[in-house]
Amino acid sequence: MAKTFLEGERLSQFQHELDALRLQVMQSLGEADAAYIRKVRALVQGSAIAGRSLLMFGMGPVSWIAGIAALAHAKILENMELGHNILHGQYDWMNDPAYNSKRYSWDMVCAPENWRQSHNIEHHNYTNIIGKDQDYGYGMFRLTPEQKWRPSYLLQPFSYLLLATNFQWGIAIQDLKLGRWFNGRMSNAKLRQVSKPFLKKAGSQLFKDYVLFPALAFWQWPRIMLGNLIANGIRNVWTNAVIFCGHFTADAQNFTIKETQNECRGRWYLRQIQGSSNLSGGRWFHMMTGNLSHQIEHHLFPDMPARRYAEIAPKVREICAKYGIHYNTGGFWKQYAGALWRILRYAFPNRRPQLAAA
Amino acid sequence: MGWLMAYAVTNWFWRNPLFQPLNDTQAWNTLGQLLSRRWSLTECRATVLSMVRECPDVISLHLRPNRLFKGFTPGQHVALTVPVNGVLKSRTFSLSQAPVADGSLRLTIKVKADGQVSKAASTLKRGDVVVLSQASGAFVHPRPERGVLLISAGSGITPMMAMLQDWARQDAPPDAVLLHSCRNEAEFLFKHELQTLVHYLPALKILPVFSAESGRLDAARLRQLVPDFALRDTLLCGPRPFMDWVSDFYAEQGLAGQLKQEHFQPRLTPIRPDAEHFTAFHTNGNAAFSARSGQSLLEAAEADGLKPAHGCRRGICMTCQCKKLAGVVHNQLTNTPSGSGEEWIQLCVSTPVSDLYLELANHG
Repeated sequence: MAKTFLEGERLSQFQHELDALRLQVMQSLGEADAAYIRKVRALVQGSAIAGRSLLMFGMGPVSWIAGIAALAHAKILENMELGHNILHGQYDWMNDPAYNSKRYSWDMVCAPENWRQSHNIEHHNYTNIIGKDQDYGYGMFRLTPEQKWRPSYLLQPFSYLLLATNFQWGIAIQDLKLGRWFNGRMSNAKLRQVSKPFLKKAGSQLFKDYVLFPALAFWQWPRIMLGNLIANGIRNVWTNAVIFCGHFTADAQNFTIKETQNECRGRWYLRQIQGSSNLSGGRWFHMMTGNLSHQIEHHLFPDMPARRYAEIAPKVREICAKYGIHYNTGGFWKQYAGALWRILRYAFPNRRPQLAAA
Repeated sequence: MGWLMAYAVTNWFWRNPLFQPLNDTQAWNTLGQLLSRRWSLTECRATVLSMVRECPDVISLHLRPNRLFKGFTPGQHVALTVPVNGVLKSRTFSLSQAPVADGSLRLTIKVKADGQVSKAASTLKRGDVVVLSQASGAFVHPRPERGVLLISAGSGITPMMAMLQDWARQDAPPDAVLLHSCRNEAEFLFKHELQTLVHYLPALKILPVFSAESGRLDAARLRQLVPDFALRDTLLCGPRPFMDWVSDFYAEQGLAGQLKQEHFQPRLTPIRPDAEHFTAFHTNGNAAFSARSGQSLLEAAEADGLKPAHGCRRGICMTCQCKKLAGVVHNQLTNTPSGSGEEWIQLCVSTPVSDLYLELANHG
C-alpha cells in the first residue's frame, strides 16, 4: 500500500480539521470524564482485592483460577486504561494528585520516569521513524525491508515468544538503552545511574508478587506465587498482542528520518494516522485494551482522555476518507496475524526494494 | 516506650514502598469512604451540615471536619477544595466562627459571578463532602493587651466575627471597635449576630458605614468616628483598594507597626494584549524570566538561562507541564486563552498575555 502525501493548502486544511476536532473534545472535558476514571480505578482496586483474596484465602483449583483471572483482569485494566492513560497526562486537568502523570505509578516493573521518556517523548514524537522510534521493533525485530537484515534476525520468531511472555521487562529496560552499553557507547557509571529508577521499581514489584503476598499466606505460599506469576504472564501476553497490533500490522507504514525532517504539525498528524492501526470490537474489548484499540486516535491526540476516542473515531475516519488517507482498522485476529507475519517474514532476508527511477 | 515502638513500626510500614499495595493510602481512602464519606488517612475532609444564605450574595457553610483537622486560631483561613465540572479547585476563605465545642466550622463565602469555587460552594447541600486544608494565616490577635480597632469592608468582616466571638468568652474582654463598611443595610453581614454578641461583649462598639447612604469611608471619617484610633491595635480586612488607602493612611501617621492586614484577592496581573514583554515570577514574587509576546514560555525561560523540564516541544508529552498560580496565557495549540487563576499549563505551547506567577522547578 502506498503512502498518502498532502501538500500546501490541502495539508493545512487537513491539519485545521484535526485541530478543530481536538479542541471540540478538549473543551468539553468535565465531570463525566472525571467520574469515569475514578470508576475505573475503583474497578481495578476491587478486582485486585478480589483476586488476591481468592488466591490467599481460597481453597482448591476453582478459586485459584478465579483468583488468577481477577488479578490478571486488574493488572490489565490498571496498566492499560489507568496507568498508560494517566501517565500520558490525559487526566492532569482534573488537578487531582491521585490522577497526575508525574505522581502516578503503575502495577508493573517499568519505572514511570523511564516510561514517560521512552514512550511519551520518543515513541509518540517519532512514531514509526526507523532509527528514531525505539518502539519500532524494540531493537530486536526486523519488521520491514527497510531494516538491514542480519543473521541474528533468523531467531526473531523465538525471541518474540520470549518477549511476549515477559513483555513488562522489555518495556522496563527499553529506556536504559542497553544496546549502547553493549557497544561500549555508555559507561558503567552512566548505566548504573539511568537504571536506578528501574531497579527500585522492579525490586518492589518482585517483592510484592513473589515475597510479600506469598509470605502473608503462610503454607499457601506456592498457590500465591504461581498465581501471581500466571496473572503477570496473562497481562504480558495480552498487552503485547494489543501493542504489536498498534504499529506493526500489514498496512502500517514506516518512515525514514529524511522524509520526516522539518515536519509540520499536519505532516505529523498524517504520519501518526498512517503509522498506526486500530482494532474493532465491543465496549469491553476497547476498555481492556485501554482504548489502544483506537491507536490512530490515540496517536493523533495522546493527551486526550482515552474514553473519548470511540466518540471521535467516526469523525477521524471521515476526515481520512475526505483526504484519501487509508484508515487502518480490522478485527483483532486479522491485525495480529499481520503483525506476526511481519515477524516471520522479515526474519529472512529479501531483496532491497528497488528505488523508482528518478 | 511500647507506644513509641508501635508508632515507629506503623510509620515504617506506611511509608515503605515495599509494602505496596497494602499501604496504598489512596486505596484505603476509597475503601474507608465506602463506610464514611468523610473518612481519610491523608486528607482533611468535611461534611456539609448546612448551607445558610447570609445576604443575597454571601453564604455560610457549616462543616464537620474529620479527625485530621488540627483546629485554628480565630482570624485564620482554610482552603476549600471542591470539584468544578470534574476539576478540583481551591480557594481560601476565612473561618467566621470561633472554635465551638462540637468541632464544627463555619466558612463564610462571597459568591462572585466569576468565582467558580464560590459558586460551586453555594450549590452544596447537607451531607455533601468537601476537602479542607489545615488552617493558616498570621491574621490573628488572640490576647489583646489594649483597645482594638477592627476595620472591615464587605465580606472582610468574616475573620473579625471569629475574633470577636473569641474575645467575648475571655475573662477580660478588650475594648473593641468594629468599623465596618458596606453598601447598605441589606448587605450588612452578621448584623443580627453582632447585636447578640454585644450582650456578651458590652465594650464592643459597632460603627457601620453604608456607602450608598453616606458615601465611602475615608480617612477623615475614620478620624471622626474613631478619634482614638492611634491608641488601638488595628486589624484590617477588605477589598484591595479599601485596604490600600487604610494602610497608606496608617503609614502616613507613622502607625504602620500597629496595623495587621489580611489580603484575600489573588495577585492581580492585568491582561495587556499590546505589551511586548511579560514577566514570569516565581511563587515567592521574584522575577524568573521575561517573555516576548507570541514567544512560548519554554523558549523564553531557556533564553533567560532556566532549564525547565521538557520533552516533545509540540504539546503532546506533558513533560513541561507547570502550575500557573496567576496570570493568563494563550494556548497556541488549541488557540484558546487560559483562565486567570491557578491551573496547569504546558510551557511549550503557552504564550503570555499578562504577567505570570509560576511554580517553576529548575531541572539543571
